[in-house]
Amino acid sequence: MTSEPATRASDGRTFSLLLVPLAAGCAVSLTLGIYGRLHRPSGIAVNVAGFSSPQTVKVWLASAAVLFALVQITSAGVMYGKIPGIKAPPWIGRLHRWSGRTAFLLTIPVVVQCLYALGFSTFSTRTLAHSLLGCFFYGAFTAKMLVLPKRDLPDWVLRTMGGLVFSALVGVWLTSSFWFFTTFGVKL
Amino acid sequence: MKLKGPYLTLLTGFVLAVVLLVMSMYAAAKDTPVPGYPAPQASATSAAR
Repeated sequence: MTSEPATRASDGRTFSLLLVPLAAGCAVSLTLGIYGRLHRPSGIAVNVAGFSSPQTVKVWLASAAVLFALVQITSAGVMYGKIPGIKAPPWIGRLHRWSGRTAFLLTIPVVVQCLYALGFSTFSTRTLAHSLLGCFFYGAFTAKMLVLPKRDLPDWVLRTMGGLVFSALVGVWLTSSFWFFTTFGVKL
Repeated sequence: MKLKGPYLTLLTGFVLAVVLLVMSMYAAAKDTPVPGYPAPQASATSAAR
């Protein structure tokens, strides 16, 4: 059985260190949800050239983001020694950070198009789940980023947050891109 | 002051979102719907045409 290093925070201190990141994450999620709900969908948003429609831009950007997120969670597994037989190379930390940053930045054009052009949708279970998971993803990501510099938090905090962010992104992808690919087929 | 990586990531995402939002507002102000999206409800300007 292993014990936490002496430098790790106690339960009370862990809670106080988490308070601001979690509050900021909640604020981000709520802000996005409220904006998406109150803002009248414009039906108009900036587009990326080379694709047949704004939907295809979004599904491919989101798919690329999930791909980078898979790289990130795999590299996290390697860093924490959770993948047997693979020794963490010296560049794994850089790969982990940059795959995460890339995944996050790829989602930004998607969320701007979603919120500005379509808003927070509730007209079906899929769109409701997509909207809720999307708002949750950005809140969880914000909280994770604010937790990262706090080195004296227990390891489980970062692992849990990483898992939540990854799960939310996959959920968002399943309720949008995967649905699109299985409904309309794979097209650019 | 040098920003730490996670803060820089959040800031970059926020700035990118604001830029794209402003561009979207500009596109909407020109009243040129993007093909593939449901048309917005008729605004006063487009209804007058």
